[in-house]
Amino acid sequence: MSVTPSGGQRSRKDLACTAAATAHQRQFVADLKRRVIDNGEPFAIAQADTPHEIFHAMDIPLISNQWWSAYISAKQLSPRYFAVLDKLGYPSNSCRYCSLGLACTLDNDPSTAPWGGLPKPTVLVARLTCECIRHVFGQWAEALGSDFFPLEAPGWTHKDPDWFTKSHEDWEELYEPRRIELLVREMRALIELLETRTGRRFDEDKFTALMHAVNEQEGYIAEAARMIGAARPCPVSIADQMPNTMIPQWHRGSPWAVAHARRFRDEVAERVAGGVAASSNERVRLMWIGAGLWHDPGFYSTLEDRHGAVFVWSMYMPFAGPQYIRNLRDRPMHALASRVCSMNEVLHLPPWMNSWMVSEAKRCGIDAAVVLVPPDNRLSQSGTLLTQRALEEAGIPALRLSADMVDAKEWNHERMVEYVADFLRSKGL
Amino acid sequence: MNSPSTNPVDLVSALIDDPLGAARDAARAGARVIGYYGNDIPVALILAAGALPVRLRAAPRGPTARADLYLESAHSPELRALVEQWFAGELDFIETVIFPRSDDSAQRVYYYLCELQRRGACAGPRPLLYDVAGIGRPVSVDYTRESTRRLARDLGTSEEQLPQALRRVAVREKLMSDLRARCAADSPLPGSWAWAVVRASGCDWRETFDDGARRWLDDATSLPRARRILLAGDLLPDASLHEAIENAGGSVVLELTESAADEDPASSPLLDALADHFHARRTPVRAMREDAHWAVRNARNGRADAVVFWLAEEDESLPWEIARQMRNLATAGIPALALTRQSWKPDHAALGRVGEFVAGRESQP
Repeated sequence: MSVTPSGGQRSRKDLACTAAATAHQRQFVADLKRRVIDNGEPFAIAQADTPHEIFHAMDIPLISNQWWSAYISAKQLSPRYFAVLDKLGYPSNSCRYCSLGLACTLDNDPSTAPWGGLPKPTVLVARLTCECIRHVFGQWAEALGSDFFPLEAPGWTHKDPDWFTKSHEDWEELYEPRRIELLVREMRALIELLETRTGRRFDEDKFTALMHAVNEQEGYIAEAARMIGAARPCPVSIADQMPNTMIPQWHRGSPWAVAHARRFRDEVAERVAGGVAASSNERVRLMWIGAGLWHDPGFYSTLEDRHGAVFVWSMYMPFAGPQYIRNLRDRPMHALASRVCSMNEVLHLPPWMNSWMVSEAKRCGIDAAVVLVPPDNRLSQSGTLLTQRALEEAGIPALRLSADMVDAKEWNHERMVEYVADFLRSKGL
Repeated sequence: MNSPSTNPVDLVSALIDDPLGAARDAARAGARVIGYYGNDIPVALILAAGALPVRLRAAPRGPTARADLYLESAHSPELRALVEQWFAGELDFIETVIFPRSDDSAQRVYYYLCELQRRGACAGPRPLLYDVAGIGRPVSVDYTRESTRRLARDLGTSEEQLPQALRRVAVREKLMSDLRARCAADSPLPGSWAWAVVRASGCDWRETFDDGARRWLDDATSLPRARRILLAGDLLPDASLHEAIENAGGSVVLELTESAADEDPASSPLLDALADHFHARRTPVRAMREDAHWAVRNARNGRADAVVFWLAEEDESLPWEIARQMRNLATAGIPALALTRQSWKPDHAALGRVGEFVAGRESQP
């Protein structure tokens, strides 16, 4: 295991398909850079919880803000860009996760920036899920000389705690017709803007085929999630779960993504059948609640190796089933809207978050949960206390970890590993 | 409880000390009381439902142990205090509380309270969400209209009563407008007094409050020449910052910490017009986002000698706008002080900095 300059450690990966996924992503990044930087193709910057399917269907390259933040963070550039924000007068408690890309653009130093910095995109797109998004994307668009196309994040008053059991079929009632219709109309406006600016056409048939392909892909991931939750010992580490879910997710619906999800499912099945364990001494089954710890992925592996504490569950993989798969009912645009219009809410607001997490913990035989609580980030903090209490009421101890996903400033690998280990010992685990 | 004959100064003081006092007494007398959080709720819908509105206000009073069990650190401290009151049963006389979708912390608290009630962890009023959309597109206008109709249905608003309710709101807004004009005059009313009247006003929607406040306004003594300060940013829970400014020879002549109310009663069809008004309503932070010279423009319009920005630690919006507003104020030669990451109740150090800043300014001739 190697050590990153900030003290974080790289994770160990066991599955053959993980290497294939990361190789594909490397090639994709090279292609994306060639298309966007070298060839000057139109491209978009968008938050993860936006309808990427539209861009995919129109063959418009897309840079996800979260992916770009993780990319910057992985290149150990976060401290530099946070210093840029400080120097420009932004208070130091402003949200970090979504603002690294803006900071990189404001720094305006091609010699340091990944890819020499991003050129002018066709548009920037984000849902207004928290208070900082509109400011960050508005100022980023201004700095890049482009436009920000915001999407509403309306309230949600149909509060069904069992949403995850109904989302495939009953999505219209579950996510509320008025909320779905709002996003459909917004997406139609976005398509019109993209067609006007890029000259590329939105093909409904191609889009529908893509939506079917996404269903197939997410079905494989959901199947793998079910197998991993049921198997003892855990056959696949979090370090393998995340890339095999997230990399195809960035390319969802593409032939590669569908084939890779199938390959991952098959490799998981082989490991389950062969009784292969992710850890040689699994003692405790853990749940990781929150975004990935992108600056120290080795944190998970160290806990596995030293303490037999295996992270069986993180949200990205089990999320694929309930939040992505949709019976299209000949209304693919509405089905897509139902997928997007609550993507963030179910992960961060009660009753959706806590009820799903408790259900998942039970399904996976979880012994304890670790909850990432980024300071100064209301959205990412939201629902964590209610979820912690709900888990504890279900007999599952939960530990809150105050840390940021991309800012390693307050992070210490050894101290945090021991913090979790102490917690597990205190719970007799 | 204050009777209609109470001295207006005492009336305001009582509401500052006990923001729920008037509404609680009205409930005891059989009135239906509906609470609301923030300045972006259509109060006319409550009035037209035959209920007495009360704006929920809280001040830093002490520990919030029960709220702390559920609210994470980045939530607004005022909401934290209100949730504590909710748990303590202090809001039980209120039938419904409306939270605005436009306030991120408030809309999250709405979900928390619904869930806590579902789980039997607390009782209290029925939480409702005013789901106003925030983007300037026709589809967002339509959505807000439907949300407004939905809120009216949930409250039992009578459309027949709505014109009268809008006139009632307009009377109150005229009072507030006159108050702001007196603060902005050459010899201004003390900003701390205006702060108190504005804060108290949402807590008492009875006409007796308007009568008393109007009498007070007629008799109030203006300050002699004072340094004119524009105060922007987050709402303050007490008058200490205003008083620090006054003690240093200044006065807040323009306070921009909330959306400005529309002084024109809506036209027909009333519900849609009301919805359109709230959809288009500009909070200061929204105005800052749309105009990097917002502070400069307002400072000039208010003939301010200086600008003070007050930002609470938990604010996630203003930190993104403050930098460029400060840069443009500096370019325009307008002195400005930005107090960021502040505790809810202004501390001694912050009050000292404000005092020094104001004392060091010169009044415009």
